[in-house]
Amino acid sequence: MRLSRTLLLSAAPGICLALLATGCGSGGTDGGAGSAADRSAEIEAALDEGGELTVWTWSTKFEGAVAAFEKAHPAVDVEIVNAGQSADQYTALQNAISSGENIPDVAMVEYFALPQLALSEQLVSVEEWGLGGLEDRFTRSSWRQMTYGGTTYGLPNNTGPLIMIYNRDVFERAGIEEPPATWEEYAQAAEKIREELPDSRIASIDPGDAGGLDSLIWQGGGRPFQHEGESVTVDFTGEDTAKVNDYWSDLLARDLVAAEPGWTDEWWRSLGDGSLATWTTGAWALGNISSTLTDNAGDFRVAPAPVWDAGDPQNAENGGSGFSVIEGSDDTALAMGFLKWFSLNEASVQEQLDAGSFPAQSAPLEDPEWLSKEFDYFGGQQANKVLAEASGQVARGWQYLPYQVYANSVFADSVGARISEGGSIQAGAEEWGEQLRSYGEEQGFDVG
Amino acid sequence: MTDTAATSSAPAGRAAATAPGAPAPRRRAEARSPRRPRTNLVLQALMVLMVVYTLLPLYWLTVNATKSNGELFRSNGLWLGSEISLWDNIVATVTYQDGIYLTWLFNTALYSVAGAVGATVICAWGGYALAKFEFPTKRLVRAIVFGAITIPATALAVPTFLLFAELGITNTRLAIIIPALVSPFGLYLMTVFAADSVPDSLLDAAKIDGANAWTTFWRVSFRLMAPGFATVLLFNLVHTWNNYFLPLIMLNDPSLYPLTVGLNQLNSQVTTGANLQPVYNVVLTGSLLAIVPLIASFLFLQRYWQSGLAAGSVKQ
Amino acid sequence: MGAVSTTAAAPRRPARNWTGLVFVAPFLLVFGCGVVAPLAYAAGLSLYRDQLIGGRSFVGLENYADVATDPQFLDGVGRVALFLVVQVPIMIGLALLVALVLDSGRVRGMRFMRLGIFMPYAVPSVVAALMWGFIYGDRFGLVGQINAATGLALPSPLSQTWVLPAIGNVVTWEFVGYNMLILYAALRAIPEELYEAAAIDGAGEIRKALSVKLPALRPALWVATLFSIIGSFQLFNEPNVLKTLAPGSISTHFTPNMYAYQLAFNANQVTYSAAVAVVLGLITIVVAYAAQRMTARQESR
Repeated sequence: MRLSRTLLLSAAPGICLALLATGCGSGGTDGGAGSAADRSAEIEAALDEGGELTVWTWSTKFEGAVAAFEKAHPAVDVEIVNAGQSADQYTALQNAISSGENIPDVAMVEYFALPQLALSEQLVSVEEWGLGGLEDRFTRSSWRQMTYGGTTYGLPNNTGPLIMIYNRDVFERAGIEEPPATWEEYAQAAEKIREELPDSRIASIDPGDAGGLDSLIWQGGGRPFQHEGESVTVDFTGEDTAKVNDYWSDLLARDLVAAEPGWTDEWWRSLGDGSLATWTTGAWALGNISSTLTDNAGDFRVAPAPVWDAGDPQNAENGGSGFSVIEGSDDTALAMGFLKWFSLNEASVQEQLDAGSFPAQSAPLEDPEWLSKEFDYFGGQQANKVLAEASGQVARGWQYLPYQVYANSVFADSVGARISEGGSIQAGAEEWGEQLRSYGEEQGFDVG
Repeated sequence: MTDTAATSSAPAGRAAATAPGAPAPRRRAEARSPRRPRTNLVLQALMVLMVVYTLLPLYWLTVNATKSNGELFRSNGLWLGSEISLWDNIVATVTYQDGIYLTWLFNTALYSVAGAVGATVICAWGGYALAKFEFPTKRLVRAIVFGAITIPATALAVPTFLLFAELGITNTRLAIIIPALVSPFGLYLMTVFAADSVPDSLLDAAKIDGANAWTTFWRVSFRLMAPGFATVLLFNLVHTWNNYFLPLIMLNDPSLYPLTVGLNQLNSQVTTGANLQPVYNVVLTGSLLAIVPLIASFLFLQRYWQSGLAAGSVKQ
Repeated sequence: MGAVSTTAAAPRRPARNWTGLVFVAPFLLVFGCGVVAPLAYAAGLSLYRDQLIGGRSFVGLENYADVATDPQFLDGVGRVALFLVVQVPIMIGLALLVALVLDSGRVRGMRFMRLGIFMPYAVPSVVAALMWGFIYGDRFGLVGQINAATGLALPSPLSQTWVLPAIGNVVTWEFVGYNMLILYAALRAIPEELYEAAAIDGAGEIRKALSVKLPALRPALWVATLFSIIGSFQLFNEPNVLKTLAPGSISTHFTPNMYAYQLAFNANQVTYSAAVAVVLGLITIVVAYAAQRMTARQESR
């Protein structure tokens, strides 16, 4: 009796494992590495031979470009899969790679996430495949952000130089003639708006958006994250970092800005009805606002983001992403072929521009036709000129952590909580930094 | 009292009668006595408030599922907009991203039906065995399984994911269906139902007729256990239909998502703006469509669950 | 069908053989796959540590020592304990009140009300949280409209102070009708004799409720409470959905389950997450067991 009980208990999970295991296959393996030179021919051959590719992106801006690719390469069948937004997609990617199932060939990777994905060996170097020499076809900043530890892990696609979208009508009603050019003027404008229009605020600061605050700090000259090899530095106590944080804490404390998460139903409505007068964000946002707040056509204009020093305007980027080939792809050569064509072919880039993407490629930024495009939604403004100028002023030297995906996920726990309660953002940021340092140590980094 | 009332009263009495030695309950008719008690206005008002509380959000959802996106941003949330776009919204929902919503609906139905039917059959066999057979290890099995009632499914989700990842079967339909087959509480209920509804004398008679245990189960016992089976099935159905945590972590291919995960992904994309086209109307209409099948099945199968519920509580 | 209601058949001792085990074997198989194996695997994993640099290494019980003093884990446990102590009694109390009122027969439209109050149970918690998230909007949601119409300044339900009650409300909304039905069904099953006896004693409605109905309801009440307790410890769906609307109020360690999720899927700490899941499971079992013991003691009185 006793024996059979034990036997039964120990056998049940074993039987079950055996049953389950038989149902699982194993992923394919990569072909051997060749020299970069003959890789180009390999890629061309793969494109001719054709096959199936899976591309992960949650953005809908790329359907046209992918269709153009398929038209130019009839043998290749590309499936776009939405595997979740940002952090969700990176989680899904990690799960797919660790289980060896359902690994995409190509995935959209935001710049902030690239170091983490590269470090954990999820991405294939483009240099191995002879695409490392394409550097000068992209903006300097975007190329650098696809690079980790001296190796480039994909091609840049879009960028988000910081700009300010403002509601012209609200500005007029508040007696503001020119959009604020500096943060000092911005604070004055914020006061005016609250005085003249008690239900409106100049903007809301998002307690859940790490990238938003990062870009403001970047623009203000702060460099809280640095990494080299296995050593990382997290330091929020720098003068320029504190300057930015304290500036926003002050506006919050004086009730000049709202503390509200962005992108929600409430937030869109507030932007639409003038309760919020401006939105300082990445250049990609033009497409989002014009397709969301369709009733507001003509209300908004685009201006450069306010700067700290009008004599030496420094800008930053908010968001932006590239595409990378994923480690474990069934057909790396074909995936590289897609990546190159998708990123640089004129027809593909044009499709992406038409869909409202703001390019990381340098060619369109100098194209007079693109620059002089008039946006009906923004009252006929040639908005791309503002964006291109902003793109040219992006300050150097910004880095993300090799565990920025994690860092962003816990941003709201410390900084976001302070924003929500109207407390000191600087104190929240230092707490965040403390958490990121101890996490780095736990994960085996050399934390300075 | 009719047969139906008798069959449903067996489980109904159970919860109240778990105290040992309780008398077999005599059921009161719906209108208990010839003199109907007078309506109490205070109590009536209280109940109306309660119903408003429970139905208001559903009303809100229904009203707002009739509005176009632009209308949503303009109109009063508690009243209809200037035009009814419900049909347009339904079309938009089922055609969104090449009909991904219908894929999710199909997945939900598949997971629910496979999981719930499978779990209920397994529970019926097990409950029948525990109630009607003596076999070695029976006491041990009882103790372990009934002890496991308190282990909630969500506490198992992360461990299950870890194991399935090791086995390489995450992101498959099996990864959702296998965990859904386990229902210790369903087993407990079926044990109760089997003990109550299958008389030993019938089993003995079948045995004398030379029927084996398998035939006896399907020809005799299963029919008697049918009302209990329907109840457990319905609640397993709700459980898998509403399942969110497990598929959330198990799946990364949207074409395998059930409705709950798909809808929330859609919603979080609306709110983080990755889509150029905001799809609040799809989220709201999709939510409304997602609850219709369950509400409909509850209405149709009222007779079963109202009594089956009392046999214990089937939460989760 | 007449035989069905004869519950007390003559005692019979069936032959002891393996047939029963064959019938129960499928259950044991899925139980092994779905419960025993994952728990065993998680318990094994929890003895290791993962690092982005350095990979996996054996650390023994270190993760458990960390869990025991992890302020974020304890923060979540404290929060669900508070939630449990406040929300469960309110929900069960409300359900009991409604069940008693329905049972008293002193209101009209009983059938409609019973269904109406039960309806939210059929709504997936994800959808419930989505709906309430819209309603909670303090500018354009129902809360905002109440403020605008009445001139009140109700605080945002999603602010740090109010977010836990706001989630409590969603959970109450989802399950009050379900608990009400359990209690109502138990009330309907009270034998007529008990009422007759009480009537002979000259008991009024209130006394009848206290002396007849409540004692008879006790087992059903405990079952409802037990499952509500388990539900509280597992809180995940509602705060997870509402987090996009209130990132500054709902942290990644808001509940222990959210923390386990965060660790496994955002923090690359799968093994530590396994330890958290094991500890969480144990806590739930202990609390549920304690509740069961209390029931047993109540009943033996």
